[in-house]
Amino acid sequence: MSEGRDALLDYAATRLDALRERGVSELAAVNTLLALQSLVKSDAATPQVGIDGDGGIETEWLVDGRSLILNCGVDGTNVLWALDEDCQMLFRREFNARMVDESLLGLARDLIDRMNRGVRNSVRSS
Amino acid sequence: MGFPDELVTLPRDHGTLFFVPNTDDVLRRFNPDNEDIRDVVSVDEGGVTRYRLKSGALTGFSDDGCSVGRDQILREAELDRAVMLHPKHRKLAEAAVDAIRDLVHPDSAGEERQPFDVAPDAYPASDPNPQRWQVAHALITLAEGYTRSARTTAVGTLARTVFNPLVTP
Repeated sequence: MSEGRDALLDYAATRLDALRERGVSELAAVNTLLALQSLVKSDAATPQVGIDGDGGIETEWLVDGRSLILNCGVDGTNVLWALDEDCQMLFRREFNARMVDESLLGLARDLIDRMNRGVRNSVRSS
Repeated sequence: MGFPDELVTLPRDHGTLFFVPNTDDVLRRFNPDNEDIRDVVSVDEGGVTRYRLKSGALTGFSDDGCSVGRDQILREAELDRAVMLHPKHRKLAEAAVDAIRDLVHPDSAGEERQPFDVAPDAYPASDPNPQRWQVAHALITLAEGYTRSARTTAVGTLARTVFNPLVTP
């Protein structure tokens, strides 16, 4: 595990703790962290942890108009989906946070790798 | 029963009180329950810094709809957009009504549909303390057939591809 990956996961965990204090679903928080541990392999594009409109957690990687979005709902439903720079949907898949399908992991990690190369203004440095 | 004197009134036969034209724009206050702007906004980390709404900025779809203000009615009532603001949410996001209605997203059965509409809802009965801007109040509604998972990505797509966050003083 790289030191940079640890720092990125720590950043996300801190945001999740802040959301927990404000009452978001514990199940959604746990599933988000599990999914991030599978998805994050290096330190670059930031998983920006926030909320959805239904009490769940929405995390987004956003670089040069491309988005990878992770939704973990209060009912345990998890969705990973992506938009290209023209706002067209690239994929959308539901998954189990404890056992993410390898083909979905591949799609998501490829996109994160492309995003990592485009990072110029990290939100963690602002 | 009329509106309290301090509230804005428009003629009862004012057509746009009953219909929201495609040419209108709507304004959304960021979620009043948020304490941290990062909860509902993402920052583009690429070469050009820009902002996108998360779906958490658009709430209410599991009830009667997402509250917005109609820009055209605000102008006709000679109200500045700033009347919608509140110390806890100092930012607005803007969207064109035709773009809201034109958005295509699959429902829970995978069928491509246009799930969103905008309906007038001046001075909603659910609010016991009406404010002046609510003469322009409207609701973005979501069609049936979208379970929680499909709703999440439909609203997330609406937030990111149709709404434009505005920076206001």
